[in-house]
Amino acid sequence: MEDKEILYMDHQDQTQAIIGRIVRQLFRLFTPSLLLMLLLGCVEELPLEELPDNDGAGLLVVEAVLTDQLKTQEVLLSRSSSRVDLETDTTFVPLLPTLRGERDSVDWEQGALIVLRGGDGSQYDFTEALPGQYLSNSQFALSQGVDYELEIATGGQNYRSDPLRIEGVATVANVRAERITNDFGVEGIQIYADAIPGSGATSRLRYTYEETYKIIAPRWNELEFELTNYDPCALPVITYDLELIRREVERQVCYNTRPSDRIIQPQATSGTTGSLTRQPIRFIPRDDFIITHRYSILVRQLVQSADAYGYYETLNNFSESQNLFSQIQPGALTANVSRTDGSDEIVLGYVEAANASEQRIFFDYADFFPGEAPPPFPFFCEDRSAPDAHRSRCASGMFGGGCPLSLVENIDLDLITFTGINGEGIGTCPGTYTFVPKVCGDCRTLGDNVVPDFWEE
Amino acid sequence: MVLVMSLLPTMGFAQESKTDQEASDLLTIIKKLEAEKGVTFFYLDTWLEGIEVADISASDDIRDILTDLLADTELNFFVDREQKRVYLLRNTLVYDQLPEGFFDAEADSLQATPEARQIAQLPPPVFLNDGARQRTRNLGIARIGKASADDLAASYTLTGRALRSDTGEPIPDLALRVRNLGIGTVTDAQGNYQLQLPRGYHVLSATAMGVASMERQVVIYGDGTLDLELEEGIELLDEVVVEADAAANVEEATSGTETIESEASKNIPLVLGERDILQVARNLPGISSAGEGSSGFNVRGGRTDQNLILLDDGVIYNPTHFFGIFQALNPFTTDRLDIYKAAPPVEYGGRLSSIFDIRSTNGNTEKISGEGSIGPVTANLALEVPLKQERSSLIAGARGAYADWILRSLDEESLQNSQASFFDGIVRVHSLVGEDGAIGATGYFSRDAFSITQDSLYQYSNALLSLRWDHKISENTRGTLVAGNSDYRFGIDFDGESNTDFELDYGINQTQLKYFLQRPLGDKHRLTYGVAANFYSVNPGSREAQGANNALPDILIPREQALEGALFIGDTWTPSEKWQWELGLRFPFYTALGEATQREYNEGEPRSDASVSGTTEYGSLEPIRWYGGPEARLAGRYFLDETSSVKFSLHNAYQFIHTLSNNTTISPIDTWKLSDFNIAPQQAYQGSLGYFRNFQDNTYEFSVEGYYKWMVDVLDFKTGSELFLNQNVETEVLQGDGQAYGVEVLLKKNKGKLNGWLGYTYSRSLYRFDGEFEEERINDGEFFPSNFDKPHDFSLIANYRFTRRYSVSMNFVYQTGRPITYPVGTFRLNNTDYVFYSERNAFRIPDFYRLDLGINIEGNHRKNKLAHSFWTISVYNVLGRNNPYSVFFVSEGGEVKALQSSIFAIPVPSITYNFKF
Repeated sequence: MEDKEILYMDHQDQTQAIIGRIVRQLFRLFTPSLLLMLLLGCVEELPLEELPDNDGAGLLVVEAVLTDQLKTQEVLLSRSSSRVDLETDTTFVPLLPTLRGERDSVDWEQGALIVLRGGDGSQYDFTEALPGQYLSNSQFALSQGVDYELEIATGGQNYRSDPLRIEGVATVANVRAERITNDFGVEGIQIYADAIPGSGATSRLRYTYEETYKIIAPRWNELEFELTNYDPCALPVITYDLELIRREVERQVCYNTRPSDRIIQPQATSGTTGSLTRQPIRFIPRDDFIITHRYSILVRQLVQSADAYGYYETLNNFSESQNLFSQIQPGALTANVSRTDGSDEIVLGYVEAANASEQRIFFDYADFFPGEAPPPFPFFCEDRSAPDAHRSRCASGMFGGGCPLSLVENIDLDLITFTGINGEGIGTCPGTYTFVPKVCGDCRTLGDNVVPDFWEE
Repeated sequence: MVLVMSLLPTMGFAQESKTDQEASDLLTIIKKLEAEKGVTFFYLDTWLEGIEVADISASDDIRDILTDLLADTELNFFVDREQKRVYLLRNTLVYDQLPEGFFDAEADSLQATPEARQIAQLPPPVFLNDGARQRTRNLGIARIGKASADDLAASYTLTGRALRSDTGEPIPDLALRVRNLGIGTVTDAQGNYQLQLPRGYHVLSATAMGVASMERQVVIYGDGTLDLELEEGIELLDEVVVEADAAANVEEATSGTETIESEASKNIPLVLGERDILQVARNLPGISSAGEGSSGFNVRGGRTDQNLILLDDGVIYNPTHFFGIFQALNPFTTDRLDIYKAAPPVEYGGRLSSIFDIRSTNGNTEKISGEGSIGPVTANLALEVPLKQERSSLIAGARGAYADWILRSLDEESLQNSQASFFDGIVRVHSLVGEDGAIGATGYFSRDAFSITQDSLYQYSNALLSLRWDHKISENTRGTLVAGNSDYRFGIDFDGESNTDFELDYGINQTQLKYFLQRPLGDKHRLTYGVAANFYSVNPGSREAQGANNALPDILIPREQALEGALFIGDTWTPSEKWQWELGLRFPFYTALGEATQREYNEGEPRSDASVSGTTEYGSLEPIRWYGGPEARLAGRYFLDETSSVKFSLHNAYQFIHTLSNNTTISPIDTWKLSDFNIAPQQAYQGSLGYFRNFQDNTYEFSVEGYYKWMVDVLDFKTGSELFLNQNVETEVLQGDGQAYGVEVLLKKNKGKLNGWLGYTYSRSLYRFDGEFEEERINDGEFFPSNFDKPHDFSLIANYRFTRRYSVSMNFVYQTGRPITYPVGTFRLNNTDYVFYSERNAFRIPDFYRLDLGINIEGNHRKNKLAHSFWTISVYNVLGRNNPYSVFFVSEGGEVKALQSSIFAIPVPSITYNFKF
């Protein structure tokens, strides 16, 4: 996952909130019903970190969506794990030090040799750019009517994919945003797309997207703290130099880009005869802060082969929230990649060749909610204060307590940004300055301060 | 010896019968009797003038006739048989003998009434013929105290106790009244009473809740005691059925059978107060389901599609509402459910694991009556209407859930389109035909509609029409004709945002015809033989695009048809007192019929679109492929002694239709698939051996039975297979073997205040899919436990009746947690973590246990009350145990979450009102 991504307020709990409201209403009516009974059935998360059986750990995982777009193509290689969650759960608590180091524990497969061979004699080599991420040495586009095979050599073994072929061509069109109230009664922005069939078998589509949004730090200040010569262990008292300096880098306006993480597949259509319209791609509740300022989404449409469509459909079925009463029987779902020597090694993931088309749109919050209050910033950004210094860490004897972490410690841990002079005696132990959590004054906590190439104001 | 006493007219104690018959002039009747019976009556005309009495009873005995005739008059009689003379007496009574103990000062009246003692010795519950209920006459007159010329007291003290004749327990709150004196009292908690009575003849009447009212004639000579023995109320005749079959546990040759009576199951606390015999069935040994709230039964380790569920001989494909939480049968029109877990009688067939034979009640042929209930979820009403007195009747029942109304009345916009409702209705006509025949016809319909997600509406329905004609062909031969049509269908209406709205439909229709004869052959044989035919017509699936400019193609899978027939002959052979055999041979045959196209696949290649070697077209009704073979049904019983027996059985079976489901539990959108060119029928072989014993005059039944079952060609499916709207579903189907074995122990107490059962089963259910190719194997072709493999299964159902009005009941279940498929690894794809599964059912969810409690309160039993009511207050899952139903893994927001679901995680209280009129 992107380093900059931070889990903020979880909007997926909307559904829970609605259900909670229904329960309360039912109890108020004091009329039990079938619905109530449904709700008595409950689903709770198990605190499971490690799978009890690790037979499925250490398997090669291959992911590639090779397209007919002229670009640097990408193949990802990793190994499966017996950990339930490959991403370290991070709940952002503004006044605690952010977890440093790797948040992502995916075991990337390094040092592999990858080559894509086409039935037309073409050959494309890949080179490892980041651990596990292999990029083609040159930009290329897959040709239609050609069978490709992806060959991978790693861990002393050779693997080859089943033949890959682009089955049809279609164009994504009319990507648009509309203000709606969804089935759960939540108001927000729904992104739709249409598909216009071109040639070949275009009945099986999959959508992915990349969304980019502008972030403006609400408590940005042109001044910032600079702490130097800090010795927390000096005796009898700590020593440091604290200055206020003018900010040198852009920290007020940032942009964050996130890829889609769901499998979006419409029902298999009749392909060439009818075009798909109003396919929902993404719903953003109106109180989600990502649409506070300006928002952009790039919708990518893939025309999948029957096998690829089936793989993603099954994967989605196995991993979706299930109907309470009847659950799909899961089973082994393996990649279309196998050992070249024919031995039975399980490979996970999927490699596909697809026709791809993209469309990007932009909108402002005010385009859909003119004159209405923007979504609240998801963090508490009121001024706080703390004593400037703290007792020396090397001092002996009793420590006095009761005051929050001192200003210099906060600055040292990079947790806060400057907002002003504490003229009004804010805080339980007022200090010289007021400050806010860094996320309120420095947008780089939530995004990147470089304007993306494609960005249009 | 002649005694003269006063017999006062009966006031306010109307006899139960006779009231609706024509009254006639007593004088005329006496004259008629003189002519008919050849006796001479002696009376004064003035005594008889203007007295209207009920018509004479059918008895041959002149005493009985007169007893009835004169019951409500001031007249009494004395019959002199030798002289053929009858003396009518006004206010007086003639006794022809002096009762024993007449001169005993502390005469215990019971000593003088041997009949009463005999009754008291009958085991509870007591079954009496009508005559025995009329206690006034049979018990005779009790004489209390000793007359003394010195004693001039105005009244004397009568004391005594009221006791239950069956148990000897005291009867509290018994109302005692003395006719025409306005004197009365009530017994205390120990059943004691005391009355002050003037000298002479009195009629004492006793009434209380839950006991049969009684009258007793007494003659008071002085102070004395009189103990009264009363029977239980006649409503208890419900349990006659139990008594009639009391020894069946030991006697019947067929083993592996269970019977549940709808009425008897009413006290068992169930979820939301709904009476549910199918749920009760799951508490019996050998019958289970994948989990609480999952439909379908797994009988002796068989799959859910291996049960034939019959309602009045017609097939019901889905007998449950709302995912199996409620039964789709009206409890008031349902009489009983017989379940055959082993070799069923030869006239049944077509499924491997069990036959569920549900019978509706035959309506009341005497008067209009009805029963109804109002519970938290459903309202239910059943009416019984006589069509022809004592010959034919109609019964109609309807039941519906009213959640829809609640959903709509909520002030929540998103719920306005929600639905969750169900309905079922039944109409049955039953009529006696001729001297010894009967015709029954049943019509049934049930429907469910619910929306799980906002954009889709699911609905399914069952319809059934069946006819059964039992008739006598000759003195010894009886014939039975069964005809029926069953229909099951479901549909999904999808109305989403994009132009992909559709309507999806599935349907199966079955027409059946069966004729069989039963006749004895000599003393030791009883033959059953006949023929059966079924015609199936299936719409395997259609999807129709809805709305303009729809992007979806219409899909229509061609209709499938098949014919299934069977010839059968069976013999109940009783070679000796100790031995009984059920020997049967059934020969089923089956073929799928055209019009159809069937694919052939290359040998040595997995079935797929790529391995098709050819296709064959079949014309209309042209047989596609014949299947079938002999089925043996063998069951035997050997009496070890009078109360215990050993039973054993062996049988095999064919099944030609199968459900297609890639869910771990049965789902309402599972489809039935007919065997065809590529899908072979399932087969099973089962053997069982059991020991059966009844204790204490059939009060306790005990049985222990072991079985082993082997199944061939049972169905499973490839990972992630598309089963619906797939014309070549054989490419997704795996056919493999199954084995199941177990020991079932059942201890039942049928009678008394405490009744119920305790069952324990140890069983295993294992399957193996070992195809030629990797994709046709599950768990490397090894045996793996099925989704419903629960080795330990314990259940206790108990009902304790405090009084006639109050009873409590409990239901406790413990089961090993069911196997589930657990992931073995996590991997990253498409920016999200996903889990990887390999071994099927390698893990188990935690064990299941649940306790339910209920209190049943009957309304009071006043005779003239319009309706008889019954309250059930129950708490389901009293312990609030959060029984996991399933553990599953979802990928959400990029990460994997392990989720555990449970259906009823908290105690669920409910209250239901039942009434009867």
